[in-house]
Amino acid sequence: MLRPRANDPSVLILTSLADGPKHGHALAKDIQGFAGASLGPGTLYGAITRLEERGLIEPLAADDRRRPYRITAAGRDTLAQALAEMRRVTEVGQARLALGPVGLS
Amino acid sequence: MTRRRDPATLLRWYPPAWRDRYGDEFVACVEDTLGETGARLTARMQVSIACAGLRERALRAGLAGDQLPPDGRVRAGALLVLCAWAAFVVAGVAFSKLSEQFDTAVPAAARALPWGAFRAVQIVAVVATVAVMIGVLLAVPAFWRFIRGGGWAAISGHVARATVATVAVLATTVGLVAWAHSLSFGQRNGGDGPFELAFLAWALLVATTLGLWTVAGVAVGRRLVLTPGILTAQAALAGVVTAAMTTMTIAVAIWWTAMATRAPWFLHGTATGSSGSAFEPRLAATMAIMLGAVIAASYGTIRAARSWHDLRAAQ
Repeated sequence: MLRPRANDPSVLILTSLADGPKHGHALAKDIQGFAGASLGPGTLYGAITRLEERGLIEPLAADDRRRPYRITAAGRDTLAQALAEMRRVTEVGQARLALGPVGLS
Repeated sequence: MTRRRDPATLLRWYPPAWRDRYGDEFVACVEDTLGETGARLTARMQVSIACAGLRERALRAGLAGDQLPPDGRVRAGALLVLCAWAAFVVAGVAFSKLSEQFDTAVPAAARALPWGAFRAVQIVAVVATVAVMIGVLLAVPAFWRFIRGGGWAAISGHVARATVATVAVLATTVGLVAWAHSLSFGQRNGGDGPFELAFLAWALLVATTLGLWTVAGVAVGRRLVLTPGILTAQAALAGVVTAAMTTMTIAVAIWWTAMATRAPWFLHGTATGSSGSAFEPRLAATMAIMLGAVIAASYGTIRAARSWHDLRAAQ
């Protein structure tokens, strides 16, 4: 189970892989581009290790030393669940903001 | 701050199995990251990678996360307490040396508190040693099965290194004792530079030997097949040892405070009746080791206790 947080490295990696396989550095660049989050190699590979252990991503044949990863079917399901949870929180937040600020009397 | 460092050297922070699986691509990723900006490895990046590597080691050892099953996590917690105990023993021996003949330095009327604290350390040390010995004895049948099952090859290197160090300790002890007999009390206690240096080297050798036996013990402990009953006992004993270490650390702190207020001259080795700072660097280092060991052991005990609940729930 992923933590349904937009800045969780696992969510970011699965989101990045949702449109096709990428190797480590390409993942970091893509994530920087769409989320503005800078994942260092240590954090990135820690998350890759956990995702692979859980069968949410899988390695492809290495190109030189750079090994691409792709999201698995289980990874897509898990990402969809995490995004749905985040969407629920987003909708609640937006609905409450629409009510306008409430001051304490 | 930047340093010229080969990114591949950072892999040493990671466990060997992880390096085999991810090492090449990880180094390529670091090189790509650096190559893009033409930057060198910054200290921050090195620390970040070191922390990630240590976390990976902790995960694989069962000291963090839930990668290992509950029994592996109970075992990991108990083994961490064993390691903390080994460090505590080194500090305890140092305390024993630093407090040698303290009672003669304290006026009789003011002796009760430091003496009581010192006795508490001695008594609780015996309790903790007995708990550790029981833990070891409980694992003997599993160890015997492990050896009969061909496990010796996996631990022979660790045992050989520890044995060689033990022989070296015995040989140097004989030499040191012979040397000490030719010296006066004052010379044996800091009055003779070469002897002091030799004693320090011997103490380091003893600490290293204890460390090597602990590593061998952990290597064995990680490979034993223990029943839930034995694991339960090990978790309980880990709690006893941690409580004992905590008590001893508090007792040493009380002893230090009592000596600082009643006989500060003993702490800095000046004439009886003189005043001075209560700070003694060797005692401070000893306390730091004790505190570090207590923190590590507390983490190990909590880890073992929580995992034991998971183990019970899974049965």
